[in-house]
Parts: sequence; structure tokens; C-alpha cells
Amino acid sequence: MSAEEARRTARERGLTATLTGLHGTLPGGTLPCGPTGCCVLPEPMLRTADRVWAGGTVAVLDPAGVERLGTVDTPDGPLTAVRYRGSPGPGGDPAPWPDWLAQLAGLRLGLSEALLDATVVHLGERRAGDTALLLQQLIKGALADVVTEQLEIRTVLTGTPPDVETLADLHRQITRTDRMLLRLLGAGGFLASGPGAVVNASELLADAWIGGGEN
Amino acid sequence: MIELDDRLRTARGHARDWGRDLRATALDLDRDPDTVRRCLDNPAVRHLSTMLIPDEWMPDRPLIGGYRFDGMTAMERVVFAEEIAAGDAGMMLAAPGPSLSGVLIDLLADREQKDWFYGRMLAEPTWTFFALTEPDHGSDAGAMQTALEPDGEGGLRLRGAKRYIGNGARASIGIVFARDRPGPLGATAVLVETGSAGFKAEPIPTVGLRGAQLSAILLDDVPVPAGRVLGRHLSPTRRGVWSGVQMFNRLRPGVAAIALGIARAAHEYVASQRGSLSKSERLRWERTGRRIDGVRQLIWRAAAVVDARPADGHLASAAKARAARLAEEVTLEALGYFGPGARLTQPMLDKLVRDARGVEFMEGTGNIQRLNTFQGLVQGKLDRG
Ligand SMILES: Cc1cc2nc3c(=O)[nH]c(=O)nc-3n(C[C@H](O)[C@H](O)[C@H](O)COP(=O)(O)OP(=O)(O)OC[C@H]3O[C@@H](n4cnc5c(N)ncnc54)[C@H](O)[C@@H]3O)c2cc1C
Repeated sequence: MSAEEARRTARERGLTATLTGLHGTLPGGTLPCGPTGCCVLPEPMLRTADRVWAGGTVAVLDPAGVERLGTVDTPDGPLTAVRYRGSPGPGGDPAPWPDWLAQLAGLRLGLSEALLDATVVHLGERRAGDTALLLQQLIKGALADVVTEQLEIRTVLTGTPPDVETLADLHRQITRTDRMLLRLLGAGGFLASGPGAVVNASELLADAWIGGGEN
Repeated sequence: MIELDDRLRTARGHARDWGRDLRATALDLDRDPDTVRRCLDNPAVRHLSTMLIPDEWMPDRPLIGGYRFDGMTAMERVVFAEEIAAGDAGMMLAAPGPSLSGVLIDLLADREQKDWFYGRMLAEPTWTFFALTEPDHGSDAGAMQTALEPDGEGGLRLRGAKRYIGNGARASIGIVFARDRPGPLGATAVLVETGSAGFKAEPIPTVGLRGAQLSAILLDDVPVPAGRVLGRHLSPTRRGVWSGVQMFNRLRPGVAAIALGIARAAHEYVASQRGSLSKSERLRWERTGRRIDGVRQLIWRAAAVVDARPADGHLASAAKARAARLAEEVTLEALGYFGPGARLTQPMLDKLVRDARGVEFMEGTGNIQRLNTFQGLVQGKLDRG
């Protein structure tokens, strides 16, 4: 699945379906851990994994090395968060990092785009006095900022694949964009169910493979 | 730079120690909001449970470092709120006591109502709520629909729904804002007992600040005795819009201080958990510290203005918007010091990131605060002369 396919799938079918699809593109059952061994994935994928990305290379998975960190709630049910503590093992192939980070960026961007669509609908239905919130100038400006960020991210992701540093920046840019949208959703976006939970899960995906920080 | 006087410095020092203690239960409270019930002896919780009860009703209030603190000024509240929130913002919002309702009771309640309200607070740890927001009306609270109508027998009844109400499901008393006639002057606040017929409250789980236990409240013809209408001795203007504005002005610096406390907690977390920083990291960390200090100054100034002139809340709006954004920025930046997996492997940092998202909406969103700050600018009310 390309980053573009991941984006489309996420926008239409949501996080879990897309993440499951991404796992399906990995050879066999792979636990694609980030640099510190963390991974967030659908539970069935964990059960069938027999190889792992450890220390930047592909290795045979040692089930005893899998530490469960907890679950990550999404509207489609919880994902599982783990950390792999096993050793890399000698001579494994390099893990296809840049592809994975690009696909994840596509996935997160697609979720962000769906959130923008939902936010526009929501603000069209809410009012301040006699006017829809959507028509308040501060809101228009904020939505324009959001869509500009998304278009920039999408453009960078399309065509020649960006390098890993650029991908890390894109992930932070997606987080920042999602936060802009959450502010527009009001307290409804702070609830543990619904869009606020999707954004939290999306941020945790970025956390596993990229980490946070200034952007 | 504004400096605290001796009394408030003393408060700060004590509250800082209490705040540190709260970190031990912060994750438990995040998992289970009822954790607060086993923390009632914590000094921060004890302090919050009597904050905003005037000395007249509590003459034997324990002194702190030789001083008396009743929480009746915004300046005092911001000093405590920052320190307690730096320990655990969830507990700051979970604690029993007058809380948000306290300011309105002070402004609007008559003698009999104060005796009743403060009496309940002092008898045992008592949670309160303050219900303004409705499912369809948040920022635009003036459009609220909850109705207060005569019951035909000398009393009143409440009908409607409220949402996102802190402590709604665990409170035994609360204040509900409702409409008793159409138009901007039609808002009235009433005291409600949650045991009354027709009152129903259910928690609605949130991403962060889970200690606050936000709740959805259903008011199905809840009976309200005529004596529970706040400000019944005042004109409709003074008990409606005027009191609402004054109340939010007084509360806003405190909410800003909670946001500041979250930012500070994340900043301090980096220093305590990261070990040694590289030179560039240290410079960045120090710069963040100065941003936090700057926002604190703004909050202190806003609190002093509100204490001197309660109708002047524009600076408080500026400070609140600034502090809420700071909390989000500093918590996200803090992740960068730990690399991938920081949120997944460090639950306290994860909690701070989630908590920071919530302060944006408390006491008015960033946009509403910006619009208010703009009003202050064009009306010449920001002390820029
Ligand atoms: C942790 C927490 C605790 C809370 N505690 C309480 C409580 O105890 N009691 C209580 O009554 N409420 C409480 N609330 C609710 C809070 O007051 C509301 O969330 C807030 O007023 C915003 O309303 P809303 O969520 O409906 O957003 P909306 O009003 O729907 O706003 C949606 C978006 O539109 C923007 N917007 C709105 N109007 C305008 C405008 N005129 N111009 C430009 N932009 C605009 C907002 O900034 C926001 O970005 C709490 C909320 C949270 C998150």
C-alpha cells in the first residue's frame, strides 16, 4: 500500500482498517517496531507475528521479548501497544523504515482530512447568535490554515519519496494540524469516544515510530 | 517583573510541597476518578475543599505558614492553582468544595443561601458543580434553552440538559443556569440538590483531565424552591448578565494558572527524568522556562487587575488563551527530549499531553478569549497607556 493509498483508505475507512491493511503489506507476520522497540497494532496482527524489526533490521521474533504496554482506544476498538526487548540478531535485512514512515504519514493525513470534513459539518450545524459557527471569520481563517497545512503535507508526500527527517517533520506537522482541528471541535473533541480519541491514537502512532518535539 | 509578597510566597511554598505529593496518585486518579475519595486528607484537597468559604463562616480556619487563606482573591487562587495543578491538574478539578460555584455564591447569594451553602461545605467534604454549557450551546451560552418555570405552587421547576459539567455525577449540590424568560436578561442561576426528583447525571469519559469527571446532566422537571434562586434580592440585570461576566472574569485567571501548572509539570518532568541534556537541549529547555515565567507574569497581572476591578476581564482573557496554548506546546515539546515511544512508555508524560488538551475549553475557548481581548484593546481597557 502506498502512502497515497493509505491516505485514501484512512480517510474513507478509518484508522484500524488502514493499519490492518498496512500490516498486510509486510512479508509474513511482522512486528514493525520503532527505534525504541515500540509498536501500536491491531491485536490479531500481534498474535500472528513471527518476525520483528529490531535495531533497524529484520529478525526472528522472540515472543518472550514482547512487553505489553497497554491499549490505545479507537472508535473501532482498542489497538495493542507493545515494546520489543529482544535482541536484533546478526545479519538481518534492513527494516524498510522510510516506506513505513511514509505510509503512516499517509494514514495519519487521511485521518486528519476526514477530521477536517467532519469539523466543517459540525461547525455548519452549530451557531453563535444567528450565524453558523462555520461563517465566523476566525473560524474561516482557522479552517483555511488547516487545509493549507494538509495540502502542503500531501504535496510533500506525493511523488519522489521524502527522506526520513522530512517524514518525521511531516508527522509533527500532522499532529499540529490535528490540534488546530480539535480546538475547533469544542469540548466534544475532548471526549474519550469520537474524533478526540482518533487524534489521540494517531498521535500515539507517531509516538511509537517518530516521537514528539518542536516543529 | 511582578514579585509576590511574603504572604503569597509562603502560600506558594506550601502549595508546591502539596503539589509534589499529588504526583503519587495522579495516574490512579486518571484511571479512576473515584480515587479522589481516598485522597480527602491530602493537604491540597483539604485546602481546595474550603477555598472560597469566607472567614466569617470559617473563623477557625487553619493557618498556613502563619497566614490565613480563604481563596477570595484571584491572586491567591492563581498561586495555589498553579502549584496544585503542577502536581496534578486532575486533582485540582476533582476536589470537593465550592470550586467554580463559590465565586457565584459570593456574588449573588443572600445571607440565608450562604448559610445553607457554606454550612453544607463545612459539614463534610461536598462536591459541587456549575452547569452552564448545554449540548447545543457552549460558547454561545446566551442561547441556552434550559427552562426555569413556576410550578404553580409558589416554587419553580427546571427542564433541560447540560453537558461537560465538571463533577456533575458526584456532586450533591450545584448551580444551574437557566432561562426564566426570553432575551439576554432572561438568565438566572439556581441552587440545585442532586438528590431532587428528575435530576440525573452521568459521567462522560474524556481524553484527559479525567479527575474532573465531566458529566451530562438531565433536568426533567426538577423542583426548585423559590428560596434557591440566586440573586433574588437583586435586579434581573445584576443577577443575570452582570453576575455572569463578573464571575467569569474572576475565575479565568485561575483556569489560566491550571494550564500554566500543566506546562510547568511537563517542563520539570524533562529536568527530572531526562538526566543530562546536550548544550542545545539545555538552551531550548531554558528558553521554555522563560516562556513559562512570562505567561505566569501575565496571569499574575491579570489576577491583580480582576481583584482591583472585577468588571475588567480582558487581560484575564489574554492570559487564559496564552496559557492554554502554552500547555499544549510545552507538553508536546517535552516529548522531543525522550525520543520515540515517550508517551507509550512514560505514563505521566502521556497524561500531561492529554490533560493539556482540555484547558482550551474551560472558561471559554481560545477564540472567545481572543475576541474578548480585542474588545479590551479597542475599548482602551488593557492598561496600555
Ligand atoms: C475540562 C472541561 C471542563 C469543563 N467544565 C465545565 C463546567 O464545569 N461547567 C460548564 O458549564 N461547562 C464546562 N465545560 C464546557 C466548556 O465551557 C465549553 O466546552 C466551552 O464553553 C466551549 O463550548 P463548546 O465545547 O460547545 O464549543 P463551541 O462553542 O461549539 O465552539 C466550537 C468552536 O467554535 C469557536 N467559536 C465559538 N463561537 C465563536 C465565535 N463567536 N467566533 C469565533 N469562534 C467561535 C470556538 O472557539 C471553538 O473553536 C468544560 C469543558 C472542558 C473541556
